[in-house]
Amino acid sequence: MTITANTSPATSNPPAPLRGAGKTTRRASREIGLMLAPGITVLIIFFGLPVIDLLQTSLSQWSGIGQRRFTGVDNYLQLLTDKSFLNSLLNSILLGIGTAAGIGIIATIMAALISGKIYGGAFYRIVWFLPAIAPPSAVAVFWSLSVQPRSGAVNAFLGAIGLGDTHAWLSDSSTAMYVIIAVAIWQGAGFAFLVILGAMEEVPVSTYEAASLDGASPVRSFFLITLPLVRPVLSMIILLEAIWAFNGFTLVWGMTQGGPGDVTTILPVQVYKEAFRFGDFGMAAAISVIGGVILLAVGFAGQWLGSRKAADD
Amino acid sequence: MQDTIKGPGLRRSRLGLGIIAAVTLSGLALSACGSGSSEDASKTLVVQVQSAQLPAFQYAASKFEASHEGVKVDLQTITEEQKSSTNAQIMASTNAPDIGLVPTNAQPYLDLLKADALLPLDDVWENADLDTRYEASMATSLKSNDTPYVVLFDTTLYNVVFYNKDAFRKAGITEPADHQIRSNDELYDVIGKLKTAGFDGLAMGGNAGYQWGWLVDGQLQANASDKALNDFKNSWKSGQTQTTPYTSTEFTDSVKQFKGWADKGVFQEGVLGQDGDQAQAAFTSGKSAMFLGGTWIPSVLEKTDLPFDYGWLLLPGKTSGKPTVPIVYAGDTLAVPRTAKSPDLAKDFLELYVSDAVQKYAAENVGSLPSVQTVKAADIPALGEVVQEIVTFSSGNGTTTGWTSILPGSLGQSFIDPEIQKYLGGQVSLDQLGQNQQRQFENFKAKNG
Repeated sequence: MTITANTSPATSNPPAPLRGAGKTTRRASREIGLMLAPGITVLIIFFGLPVIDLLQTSLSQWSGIGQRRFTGVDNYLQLLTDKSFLNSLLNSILLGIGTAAGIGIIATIMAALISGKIYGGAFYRIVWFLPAIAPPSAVAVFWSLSVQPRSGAVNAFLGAIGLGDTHAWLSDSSTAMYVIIAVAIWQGAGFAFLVILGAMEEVPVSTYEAASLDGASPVRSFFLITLPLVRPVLSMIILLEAIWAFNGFTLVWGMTQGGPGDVTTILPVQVYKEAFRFGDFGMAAAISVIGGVILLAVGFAGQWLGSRKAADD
Repeated sequence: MQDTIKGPGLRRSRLGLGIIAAVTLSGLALSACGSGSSEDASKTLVVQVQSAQLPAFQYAASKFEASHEGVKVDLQTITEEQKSSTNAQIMASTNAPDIGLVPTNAQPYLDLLKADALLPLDDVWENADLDTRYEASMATSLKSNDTPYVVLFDTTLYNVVFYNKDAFRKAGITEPADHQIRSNDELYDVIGKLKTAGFDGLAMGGNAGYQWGWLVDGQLQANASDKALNDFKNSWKSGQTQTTPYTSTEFTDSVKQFKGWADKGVFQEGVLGQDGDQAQAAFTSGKSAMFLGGTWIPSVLEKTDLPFDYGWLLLPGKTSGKPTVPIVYAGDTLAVPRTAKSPDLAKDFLELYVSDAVQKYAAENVGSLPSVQTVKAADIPALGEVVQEIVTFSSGNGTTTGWTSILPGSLGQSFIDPEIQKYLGGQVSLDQLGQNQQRQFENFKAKNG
């Protein structure tokens, strides 16, 4: 006797659901829910509730202790005409864009050099990453001392090459922010370089070989093959660096405390001052909310740009 | 199809995972609960202290432990920044220290008073006879609605400039008579000679967040009329009406001095980008010949093995012949939060700290001046010759409490310092600075009455 398996294709009559399948699905959903519960609970407790509290505080007048007094949107209305807030916002945007652009360019060049097998690549991989592991507070103190006139290392070097040693970089309102951007780039380029290098090393060698056979130079290959293929990673790292720089309290506070005046005051620094030096938590919360909304918009925009198809799709 | 062939083993493992998840969640919740027994807490007295004052507090702690068997004093150091900013939240929390540092000219003091977060200390003042032992105006200023909530534990004189005598000699500068540079022209002459000899001028922490306020205090004392100065110091208080606005020349003329000084190179290079430690380093290394400070500085300089001899002088006011005098700071205070776990022990400690014995020890070992009149700085040789000279000079020349030493931080020190930085950096004009200060005053009055 032969047994023949039924290999006919599915007919218009799909098999009837087996008895108990719904109950099994519900049980599976319950179990999945139970396993997700701790994570969701932690998320609600440590993220959701603080955000709600932040919004409530932004609609209040509060010194940080005692009772809150509901004031509606007064804090937001005041911010709309507050020159110091607008100044802080512009400084944050400048710091974010400047740092991200600088890191993006420098890290890409470094990654391209290592990917192109320069001599001493293994050494440079380590050395270029070192600034990324230094504590931000130590970086701030080191560089703020280094750029002091007469005594700092930067001015000593400039003096040695005949460019004078009395530049007061952090004291001058026209240069202070650019010094901070430069330090942020110095610290952030190492991490970005490693991430971009990883993406570059994923590009198939055969692609470059084919381009070489077609007569493409290394530079042309870089711009027409490498960059388009690493674009998703590159755009992600630039977005992250912009967000981190926008929120970069430690570096600014450690180097200038937002000074001289408010020339280097960014939103996080202003939040700190409003809350703890002026005792106005309501205003600090309102500034935080606005900063958060801006970053959320930037994040969504970055997400949308990054989801566009890469050149090889 | 595959769902139907799940065995009981797989279902049990999923259930097990679910149970583990629930247990983990419970563990997280339980771990968030506080720890430590209240019985342990009552035997430990937690006292905040700044590191510079640690020797004196350690001395007081050892005496306290000797007289209170079974009690341990836990000294917690906090920074200058912390005591003037984030300490309000710590003092009002359920994990507050038993005794906290509460400078009366910083924002936390005002916020803690408004929230009724401090214990009244009438009993401490009575037991320690502080109404008599504190100077009368000082005692009044330390109370809120006639109730004391703080205890003053030291005083200082600031707005004093220390100078490198060797540098002055090398530059051919005669040391100022009576320790006073009497005019701006004399100051510019001194600076010019110092620069020719290769020294920077006055080192100060232009980015420290409070030193421009020191200079304002000295200038207001020298330049403003008594009526205007009294108004600046008191009109912020609840129920008081302002009679001299900050837009008037009574205020702005004092600030205008600094622009003239900056333009003439009085300050060290890069002053707006340097903090107090960097300024001090510039002086001790011999790069700057002058350094802005106060009576605590000699005790600091003694530890640095200075390679030169130093003296002290006072900067000029706007009018020739009317220089500044040292300014009193009487805002270093201790308070007991309502949430303190050992309030009675805390009060005992406060009474001990303002005793003559501890005040004398603090002056000898920390360099701070006593807060009580029963211990005279003149009777403490360990303060050193320079400090003794400053104290004697101040006693004979009518010293006063500084404007930023009295006003709440959001209206005084924390606000005016960045405004002066903006003014010197060209971001605002003098008139705008006055308007900004006046607007800040009006906002403060609107919120606080």
